[in-house]
Amino acid sequence: MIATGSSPIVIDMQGVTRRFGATIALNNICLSVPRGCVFGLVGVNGSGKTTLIKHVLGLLRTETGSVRVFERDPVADPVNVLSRIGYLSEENDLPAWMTVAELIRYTRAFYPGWRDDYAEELRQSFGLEAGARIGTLSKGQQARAGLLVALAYRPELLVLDEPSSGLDPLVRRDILGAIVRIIADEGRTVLFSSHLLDEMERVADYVAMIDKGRIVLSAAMNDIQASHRRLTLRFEQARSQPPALAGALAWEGAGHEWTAVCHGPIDEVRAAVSASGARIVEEHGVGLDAVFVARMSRPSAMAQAE
Amino acid sequence: MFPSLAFGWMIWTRHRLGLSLCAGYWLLMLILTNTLPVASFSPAILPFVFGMPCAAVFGYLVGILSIGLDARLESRESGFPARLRTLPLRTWSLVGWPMLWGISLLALAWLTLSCGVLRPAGIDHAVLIWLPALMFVVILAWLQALVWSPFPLPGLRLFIVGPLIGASVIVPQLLLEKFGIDEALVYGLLAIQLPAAYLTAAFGVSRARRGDVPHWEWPGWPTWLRWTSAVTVGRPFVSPARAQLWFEWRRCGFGFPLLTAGYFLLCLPMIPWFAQAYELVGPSGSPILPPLLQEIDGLWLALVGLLWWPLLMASACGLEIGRLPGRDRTRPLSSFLATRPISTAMLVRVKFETAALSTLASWGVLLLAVLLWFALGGKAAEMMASFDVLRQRHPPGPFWIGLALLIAGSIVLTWLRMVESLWLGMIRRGWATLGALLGFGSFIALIGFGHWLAKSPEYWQTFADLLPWLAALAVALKGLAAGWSLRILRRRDLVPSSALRWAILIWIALAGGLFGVLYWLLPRNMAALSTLVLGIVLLLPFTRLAFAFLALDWNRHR
Repeated sequence: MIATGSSPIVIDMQGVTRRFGATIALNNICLSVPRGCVFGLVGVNGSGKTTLIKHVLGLLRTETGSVRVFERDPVADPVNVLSRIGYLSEENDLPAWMTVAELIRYTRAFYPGWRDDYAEELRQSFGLEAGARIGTLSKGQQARAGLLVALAYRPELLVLDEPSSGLDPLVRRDILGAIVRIIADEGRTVLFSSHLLDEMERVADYVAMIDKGRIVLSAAMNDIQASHRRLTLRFEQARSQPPALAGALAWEGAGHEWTAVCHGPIDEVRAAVSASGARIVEEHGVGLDAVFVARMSRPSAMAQAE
Repeated sequence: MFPSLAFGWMIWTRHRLGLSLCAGYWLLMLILTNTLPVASFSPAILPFVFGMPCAAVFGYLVGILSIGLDARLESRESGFPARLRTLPLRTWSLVGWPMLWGISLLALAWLTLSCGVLRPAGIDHAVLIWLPALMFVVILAWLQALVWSPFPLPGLRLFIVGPLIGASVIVPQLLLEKFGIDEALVYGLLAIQLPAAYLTAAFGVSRARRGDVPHWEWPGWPTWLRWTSAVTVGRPFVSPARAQLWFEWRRCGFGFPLLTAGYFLLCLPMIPWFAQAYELVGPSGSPILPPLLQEIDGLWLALVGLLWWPLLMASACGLEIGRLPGRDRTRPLSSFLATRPISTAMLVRVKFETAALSTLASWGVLLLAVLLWFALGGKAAEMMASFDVLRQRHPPGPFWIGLALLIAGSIVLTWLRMVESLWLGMIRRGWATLGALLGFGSFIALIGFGHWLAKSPEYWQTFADLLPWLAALAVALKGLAAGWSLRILRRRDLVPSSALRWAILIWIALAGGLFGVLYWLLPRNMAALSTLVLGIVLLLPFTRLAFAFLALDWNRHR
């Protein structure tokens, strides 16, 4: 759950649970995405990111709980919700038989705010031939075509589901550029999921980590960076196991020297270290990548107990 | 596992459900034809009971045994599965085993059918047993060869498949029937094509394995016709619905007219032969046609029989129009289409409109074909004379109105048959497909039952007493299904209430109009009023149209 202050909420999910047979894809998800932010979703494959995004788009009906996008139900009112969303999926299932020009002509009919000059600018900057068939384009070019039709009407909410997956750095740069463009337009919101955490770290204001259908961490990027530290500890006596240290998410090391990724107020962590009979020999901040690895490699029982 | 067995296992595991259904149907036919007095059945009934399902089964077998179901025929790339190309086998073996499995299974299927079903039905001629078997395997072998071979130009394969397969089958038949060539020579001409197809396939697959595919281009448009602007090309669509109609039409709308055109190109020259077939008499020496049709000239009957093609094919084409452009059964609707800001009701309405356009285009093609037949067939004068005779036998008012209604009704019925099967294409669930197959099987069984009843006059009265009750039961079930679907449509607010009211009013008006016309046209003693009303209620679809909205909604918001 994100504290939003005074910003209006664009996406509001309350108590959303979704099962596929015996598998729980989403488990009591509560999530609020404020307007004007870049919101990142992080999780291992199969953790429920795409299922969450499909609920936002109304492609999945809620079994329990509620989903509101722009204060509307995306299943009951797809026209008014989807007309304000630009969406690029990992599958990128654009019609292969269309040419780029046909794709543009077809898509613009649905969006009154479509801007031809902007679409043309994007087409040229992406190097897309107007007469080229979508099916003959490379994967990267197809992603660019998908991005073009998702951006050309300047949507209020841009939803990107692992858009960079399997793409080369140039296409990833274009996608990041798109996010930056959207951010530049005041009041527009981006929801995107990705495995590329360094990119997410660069652009996301908020991050939610999902594991086995549960949100295990949801906070502003600055807070995440400030509240997680990597500490290298030296013990007087060699240890075969790391100590039980409050706030420690993951341990590495052996013998006298152990390294922990810790979460929580740093003074409390330092006090706990002293109490365990160790001293801190090295301390520095960690990136989203390290936080992700530390949280996702924890036993789920520990994560749920928090 | 030996490579030979591995290929057989691959075919079985991928298509085990379909192959099991085919085997089950084969077994059922074997049992039925060897226990029922099939030889005494009228020749008119056999095509319905055996012909159509068998054609469907053989079409399916040819499709799956070509090992190229996922191939895009219009592309230049080889349709031989990429995962097989890297197997550590020599090309002759890689090509040979699937080809051998294919032609063996297909030949076995035909020989089982001919010996187990055709012989008990009284058709026992060597030409009808062995010639089709060879023709089937030749068709399959060439199809495999052409699908597996890469082509230098996109679309070139489509231009070659039809004529090559057609010629390989038609030429030996012509030699046999028209030129009286010895049967053994014809068999030899067919058989020699198998190694030719194998060599072609091996050559093609070896090139595909090496990536040795020439890359040519079709001649481009003249400069003055070429698109120069990028985004400004083409006028904007006036509405999302119009854009969606364009999308649906481009995706699948012209398949039906194209099929119709291809069918008529093949069948129109054969009208005189069909006309002779209509003059056949049954085993007892009595005419096989019902009395109403006996006064119509054979040529007209053959032509009208061909004109019913759109009606027969409409359901299958409706399935295709209804089919959602998705990746697989778990994701039947692509996220690209599902996230267009357009209501589910509008998406379905556009499919109804696409079906209407497709129907009109098909009947337009059909009209052109008939005109072509009159102009070039050399039978126009003869047919017009027999038409005049028919016209003079009936009062002009009912004759012309009946004719106009027959044509308009056929067009409307074609559209109705298309739209009533849309839901089945949209739903993409195994149980729905199974249900449709069972429904089709029930239809075939019903024809068989009708035939049995026609030959059993002692049960006519009992059946006549039961018929209104059976029809009333069917109408009640239909009413329940309609009520249930309407309730869900309203609860989910899928269709505006005003549109639902209009749909019900139009349905009542259509039913009333149809009742009036039939009451006016049909002889008074032909059907009771109650039977007529119940028949009309059952004929006109309502629930199946409502199901289209529910099926799309179900797949769009799963």
